[in-house]
Amino acid sequence: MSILVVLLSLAAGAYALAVIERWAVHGHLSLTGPAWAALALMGQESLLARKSDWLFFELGPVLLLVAGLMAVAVIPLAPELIITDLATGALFLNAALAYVLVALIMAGWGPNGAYAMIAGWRFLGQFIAYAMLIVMPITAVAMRAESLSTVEIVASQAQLWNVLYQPMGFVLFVVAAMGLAWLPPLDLPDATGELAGGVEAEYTGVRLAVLRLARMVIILALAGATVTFYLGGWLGPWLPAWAWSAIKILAVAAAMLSVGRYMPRIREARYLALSWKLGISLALANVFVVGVIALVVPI
Amino acid sequence: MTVQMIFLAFFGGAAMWFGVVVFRTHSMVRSALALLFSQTAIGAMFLVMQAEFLGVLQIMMMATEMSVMAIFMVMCS
Repeated sequence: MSILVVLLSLAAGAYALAVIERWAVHGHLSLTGPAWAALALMGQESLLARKSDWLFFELGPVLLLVAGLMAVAVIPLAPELIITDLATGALFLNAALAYVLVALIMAGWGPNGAYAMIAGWRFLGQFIAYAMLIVMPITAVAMRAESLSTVEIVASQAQLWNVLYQPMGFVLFVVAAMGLAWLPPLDLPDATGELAGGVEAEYTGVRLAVLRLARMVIILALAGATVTFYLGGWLGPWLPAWAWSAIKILAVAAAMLSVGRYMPRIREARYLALSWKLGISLALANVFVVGVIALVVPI
Repeated sequence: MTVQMIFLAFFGGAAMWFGVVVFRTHSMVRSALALLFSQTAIGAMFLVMQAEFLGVLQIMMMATEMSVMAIFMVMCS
């Protein structure tokens, strides 16, 4: 039962995000725009490049969608509204999102095109930059909650949300999440205007529709993870639990989609240098500070 | 118990089959990713045997390691 509810709200959320992204990119709000765009993609011919690795070409977008759905499975929308409450939920989320990398490499290698291949391998470099910054802030969150279960993590924030308890971890996690979902200014794998769409360059028709849907699901999963780990999940006064989850997740996703559009795209060497020299030091400091606070003042 | 055995046999078979594919294919990237799916199947075997943490860790680590290995295989071949 809760699977059906979560999947339906996921579909609604993905549509809302598509509307917001079009708004952020084109500057005008159109509620029916994504529906027409999806219909147009369904009617488009699905081209297959010559000498392509057809298996990877077909499997890439599907694996991306599966990875996003697996990540959504451990995000609680309300105390009972979760597909599976694993004891290792926070780690499982990482495991699912690690396959985003595999899917993008497959989708980049598959079509046998230069732009797509460069974009796929570029995402591997980007992964080296963001991977540690996804995992280390979650370590600090799990230290406070004394559990990896996402439901326990939300419950541990009843007194004080983690965004106030460990603001440094919040910033690092959101930036790393934007890298994972290849949102601007960290959109190296589909750098429009530089790689002509990158991974998406050779995809048309239904396959492109699946790829775009999968990306929306991943952004929703990451916004859900941010809300679960830092913004108190379903906690909040007056409104019912699911409404708080929906409001927070949509707000975080909208912020992630729109804020970065006003910054120039970062070069991957610089991104790697910043992540390793600055980001990891800050993440380790965050783990240390949270450990000291958790020992001295237990809240 | 029997359901567990069936799943264990399925994932074990998958791990072995992907292990064979590593040597049967001519594409370096396919070879590396076949190794990845072989290791993922082993992770799924851990999950079936209710070693949850070990299984999730195996599935997570192998995805990244095999991808990094794939680019080195492509660059060095």
